[in-house]
Amino acid sequence: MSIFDAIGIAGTGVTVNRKWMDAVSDNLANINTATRTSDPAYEAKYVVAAEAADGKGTQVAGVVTGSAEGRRVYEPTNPLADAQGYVKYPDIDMSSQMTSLMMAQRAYQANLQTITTAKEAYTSALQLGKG
Amino acid sequence: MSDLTSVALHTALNGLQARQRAIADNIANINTKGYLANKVQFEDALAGAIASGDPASAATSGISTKKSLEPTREDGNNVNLDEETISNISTNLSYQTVLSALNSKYSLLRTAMSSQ
Repeated sequence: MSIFDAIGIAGTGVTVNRKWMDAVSDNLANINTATRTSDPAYEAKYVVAAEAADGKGTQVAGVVTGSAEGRRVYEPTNPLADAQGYVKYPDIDMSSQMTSLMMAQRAYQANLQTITTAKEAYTSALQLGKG
Repeated sequence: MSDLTSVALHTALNGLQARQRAIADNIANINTKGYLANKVQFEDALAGAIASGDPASAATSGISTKKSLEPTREDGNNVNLDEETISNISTNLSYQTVLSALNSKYSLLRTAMSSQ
């Protein structure tokens, strides 16, 4: 166990939650990305967090993708529309993405706060014996 | 430096540091499915060791980490962010208090060493 463990551990939490926010922003950016019905729709990304292998913090265990099936929308004026006038939109639920975004943001802030608190404690420890 | 006070304070520092590490781990894993929070206990063991006049005995065996038995959320995780935040703040304050006690101890020693 290193003496500055708490900072490193909270750092892994910051990283995982940033990656999660990246994935959510990618999903939200593509929420209105239309594709031809013959092509796969944009697949939403879902970050899976797991306890770090060495027991120090957390890590991204993998990314699960949503369905490429998408939903068919009737838009005959869309240049990508097929002969029947349909295009494909990704199957992304805006409200669940926003909820994820808030969870990731709060967890990100909580981890940063842990770093600040640990830093305070270690800074005091460095003053030991000086006064 | 191996008097009862110094040893007790050092043991307390180690215990508080272990708790701080556990809190960081718990908060880092707040969104990890199936993760159970770690809780560090050392105060009772330390108090017992001080009472029996041998605080050094708590230094190795007295600090224990246990998985929390609190009920879990639907994803099997039982980290409670407000509890961890409060524990983080109080651990930090205790840590600083112990450090200042150690500092007083050292300055007392310094006075004793420098007096003619």
